[in-house]
Amino acid sequence: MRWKGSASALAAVFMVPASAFAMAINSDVGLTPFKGQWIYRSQLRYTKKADDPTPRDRKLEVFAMPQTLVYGFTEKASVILTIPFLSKELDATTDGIRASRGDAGLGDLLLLSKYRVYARDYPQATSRFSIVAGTDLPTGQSGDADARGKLPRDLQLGSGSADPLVGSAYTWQSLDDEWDASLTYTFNTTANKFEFGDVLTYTVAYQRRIWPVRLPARGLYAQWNLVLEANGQWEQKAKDHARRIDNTGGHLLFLSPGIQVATKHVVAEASIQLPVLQHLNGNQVELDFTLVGSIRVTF
Amino acid sequence: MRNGAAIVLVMLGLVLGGSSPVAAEIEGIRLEVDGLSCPFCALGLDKRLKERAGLEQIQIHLKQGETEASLPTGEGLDIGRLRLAIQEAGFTLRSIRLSVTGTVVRDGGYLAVASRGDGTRFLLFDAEHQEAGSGPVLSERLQRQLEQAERTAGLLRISGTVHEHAGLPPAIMMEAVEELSE
Repeated sequence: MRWKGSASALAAVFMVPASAFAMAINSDVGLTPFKGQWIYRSQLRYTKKADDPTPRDRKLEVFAMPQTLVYGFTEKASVILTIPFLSKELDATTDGIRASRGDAGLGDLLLLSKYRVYARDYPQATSRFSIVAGTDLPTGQSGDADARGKLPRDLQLGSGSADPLVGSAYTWQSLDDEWDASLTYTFNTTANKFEFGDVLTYTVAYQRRIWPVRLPARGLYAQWNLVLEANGQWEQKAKDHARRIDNTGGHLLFLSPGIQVATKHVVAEASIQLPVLQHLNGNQVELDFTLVGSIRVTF
Repeated sequence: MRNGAAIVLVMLGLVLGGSSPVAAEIEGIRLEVDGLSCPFCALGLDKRLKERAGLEQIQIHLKQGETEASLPTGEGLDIGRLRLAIQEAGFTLRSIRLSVTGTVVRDGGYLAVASRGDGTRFLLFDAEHQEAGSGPVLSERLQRQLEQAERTAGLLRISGTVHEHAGLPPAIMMEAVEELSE
């Protein structure tokens, strides 16, 4: 998961490289699709932020629909393209007047390459480590305006800049449970003399099969998993004309329980991200929660 | 005249349509695949085994980490392609068990079975003697049985686990030998 924008933490790009394996819901994983495999993943994410320490009483809602396509060139190398559709709305009080502003449309594309550098297979279990590198592309509008003028950065759909990203991911998976851990770092660059702060994300996720309680002796089955994730994000302060902006950046940590069902062709999952730590710089609107629903299809 | 033609057609139908199908030469293929640990992972294995290794009727049993499959009648089994298919699916092949129907032949001085269909050869080991030496080793009883089958060109069904050795054809560590009537 990745948030773009400091005070907002809501231009959520939520680029989750899908995998052939039943990975965690809000994390990158080290597993890759098989050679020639396509995976399509559609997510719906709703984020609400309403805890504003300022008199403006800002309330923000974001609907994000990242559409992800994954292709395995080999069993080790894959590419991941994510196209996010975003809808943002901000209610705020300015000079005693309550008003709503917002925008909707295509966000910034994310193009990632992923390479599995380590894999060790065991009977009914596997352990894998991958590295990830890529960039997002400034396909989202970064200069949209409404009747009141140019929208604030938080409400823009894109950053306006191409931002490289590197990362790594580890997975241990067995028939009973799975551990995932991932780390990414995004080098946000400058566009229109504005630069979002660099972003470090980290995730540790655990999932446990709850159904079937006893595995059938033969064949495949639909598997239900309970998922618990810790998703963290640390973000530098943004810069405007090379000057740091105080009310940007900080450290967020979510605890994210979820449920997942995996079959041979489809994985469906739902999760809620609840903030357990919000060390935000300056006066920023705190995040209430994010709801996540997702479906993955492989072919 | 019309009745005679009908009889000929019926007899032809019995000869063509009523003939029993030829049994598969390599059958009962069971693959132990390591790393297979979720239902969503199984599709890749299924597809690669079909496309790359030419297997069919694939059944994946997650709990055992085992995959059952068959070959079309007359098709040979290419162990290298099979291994590659599993690797491309992102897994590791641990073992192959199968049954071969064929005749006993000599291959480089070793006894082997040549499958009835495409002649794929498997050197023959005796499971009880697998640690007795570096080459294919057979117990005296099995050696005699196989040499007898070699002389008579009798049809055997041999079941066991497939092994590979550098520079040699694949080999079967035999678990069962069944003499078949032609």
